[in-house]
Amino acid sequence: MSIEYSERKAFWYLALFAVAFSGFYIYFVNGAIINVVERQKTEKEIVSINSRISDLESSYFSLNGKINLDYAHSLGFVKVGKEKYVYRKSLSANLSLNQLH
Amino acid sequence: MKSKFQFRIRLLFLLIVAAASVLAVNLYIIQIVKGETYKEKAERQYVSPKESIFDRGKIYFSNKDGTVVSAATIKTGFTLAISPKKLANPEDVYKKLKAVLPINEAKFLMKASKKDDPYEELEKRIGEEKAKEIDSLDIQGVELQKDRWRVYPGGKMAANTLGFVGYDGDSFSGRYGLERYYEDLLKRGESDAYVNFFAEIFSNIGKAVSKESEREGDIITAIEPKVQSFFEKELASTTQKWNSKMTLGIIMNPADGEIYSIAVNPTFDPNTYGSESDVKIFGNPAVESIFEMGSIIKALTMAAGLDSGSVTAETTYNDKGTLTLNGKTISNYDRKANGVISMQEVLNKSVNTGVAFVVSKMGKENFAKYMTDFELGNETGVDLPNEASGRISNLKSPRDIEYATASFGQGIAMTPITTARAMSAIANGGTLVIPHIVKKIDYKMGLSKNISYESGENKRVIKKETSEEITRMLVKVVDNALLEGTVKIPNYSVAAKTGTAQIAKPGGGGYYDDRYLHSFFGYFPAYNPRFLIFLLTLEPKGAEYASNTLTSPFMDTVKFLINYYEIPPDR
Repeated sequence: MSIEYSERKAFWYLALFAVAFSGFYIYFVNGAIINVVERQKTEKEIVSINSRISDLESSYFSLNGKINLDYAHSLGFVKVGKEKYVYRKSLSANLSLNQLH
Repeated sequence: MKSKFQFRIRLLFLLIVAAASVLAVNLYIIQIVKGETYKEKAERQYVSPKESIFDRGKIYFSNKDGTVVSAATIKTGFTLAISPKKLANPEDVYKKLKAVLPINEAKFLMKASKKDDPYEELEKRIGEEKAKEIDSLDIQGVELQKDRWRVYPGGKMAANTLGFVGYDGDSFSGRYGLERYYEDLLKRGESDAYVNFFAEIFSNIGKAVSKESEREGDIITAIEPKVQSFFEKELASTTQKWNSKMTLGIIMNPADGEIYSIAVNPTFDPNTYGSESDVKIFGNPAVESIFEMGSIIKALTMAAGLDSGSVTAETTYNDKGTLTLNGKTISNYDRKANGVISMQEVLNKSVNTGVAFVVSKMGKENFAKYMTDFELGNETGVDLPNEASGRISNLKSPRDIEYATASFGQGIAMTPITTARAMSAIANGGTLVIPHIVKKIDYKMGLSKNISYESGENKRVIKKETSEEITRMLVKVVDNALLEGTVKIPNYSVAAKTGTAQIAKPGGGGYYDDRYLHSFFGYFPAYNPRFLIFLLTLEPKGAEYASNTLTSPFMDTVKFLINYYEIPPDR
């Protein structure tokens, strides 16, 4: 009688484990699938954005190449006639020791 | 009890057989009955690469504000192909395609006529929008295949430094420049974009522990795109103006060896390298070729003389215009005698016999030791492939004449990068730096590494005081002697020296009478230099000396860098 009871108990435990593990399995595989799909989607997006960036960079370089002195002059810029600089005297020349009385 | 059990087993068996039959019939319908339809449908999806999709790490330029811009990247597009045996009416197909893409009619019809051929490529590197337009036409026998390829958005910019990727036998890999030097970092394993979906879920576990992917990364160079672009234009106009065979230049930080620009003219576009007829253009002469540098070496000789205590800036000697050693006579460039002059004037007037005097004062062995310490005969370790070693065997000769000619840069040859490194030592306080282009590596795993070349480890070749003294002398060269002092910048101290060298005939037998190499190096702000500029132009026509050909590109570059980096005046 007690053996039959133990078997039944073991059966239900095993059944419970089986159901639980099946649940976990489905949950994790589902998670993995979602992640892989997301990753693939993101990778495709990255590739496409990178491609677009390289186009933009090409035009950036070619536009940059057009900026030169002649272009600056055509926009009305002129060279600074006489450059003037402001100098600050070295601080060390003015330092003196405080004398204690 | 038993019959009930048997019934259950039979029922289960029937169910299994029924399910298997349904699957088998379905499989038959998919594979045999509708097989062709599905196959065509699959083939026409433009994500059907014929081989694994190309991928590779990026190379970046660094702007002065620390932002980066791609020097080499990957572009995605499509390859347009036809299956001639499936084309019903080639003329009609051609008209439809021509409305979207400019396709050569003769080429199309020739390819379409190969009726036994299942696959003929029409156009490569088609953009995404055009591909969508073609796909929407839904033409039978026209295929679009996804493709990726290497692009260099800057075109010719820094081409000799970047190199390119191409076939080397069967392997598609970096062939020149950084693409080759950093092949291990830039190459990528097989693309997984088209791996079976479920296989991927499990294959990623292997990938996470794979050692190979740990080394995959992108590289960030110190090359500044605006400086590079400006420098290239300067060198191109120099080549053109003096009809030179080649002009090259290096801009580097003499304190840490970071290279902001290596420019070579003529150069090539790595996006269309196949159109170049001579493969020599792909190399980088700044690290792969050696030259006799001429009088810029006098700065090293004078530094050695000062450092050894053999001479000072005020030491005088009597210049007779020529000097005969071991039966051979060397003379000054103008063959004139200057009389009693100081060492400062030796540099100002670039007197050959003057630096030969320095060697005689310090002793040839001592001079050779200094030149060897400057590592003129060694590789610098710069991160570019095929670096050449200098040829300084004349410094082991028993004859005095070889040392005398070496003192003004003849009879010994070295690469421009070695020369720039030696000059950096006299600029930075006396230590040898390691020139380098790449300053940071971003690993694909997420980590990044700053490449540091600690100055504490650098080898000292001359004393700090010597470096200050030779700098003072070279500043005087610019202020008083270079084009008679007309190019000096009042508020900025610039140190520089010009050089004009004879070119040796290949295989020995002396020098050409009519071929010269002009060289130039300088740095500023002279007493705390941020930039060292090295220039070289090969076989210029119509000008005798480097002061005529290279002063202007040098001073233009100095002024550009002062403005661009907003360098404050230092005097």
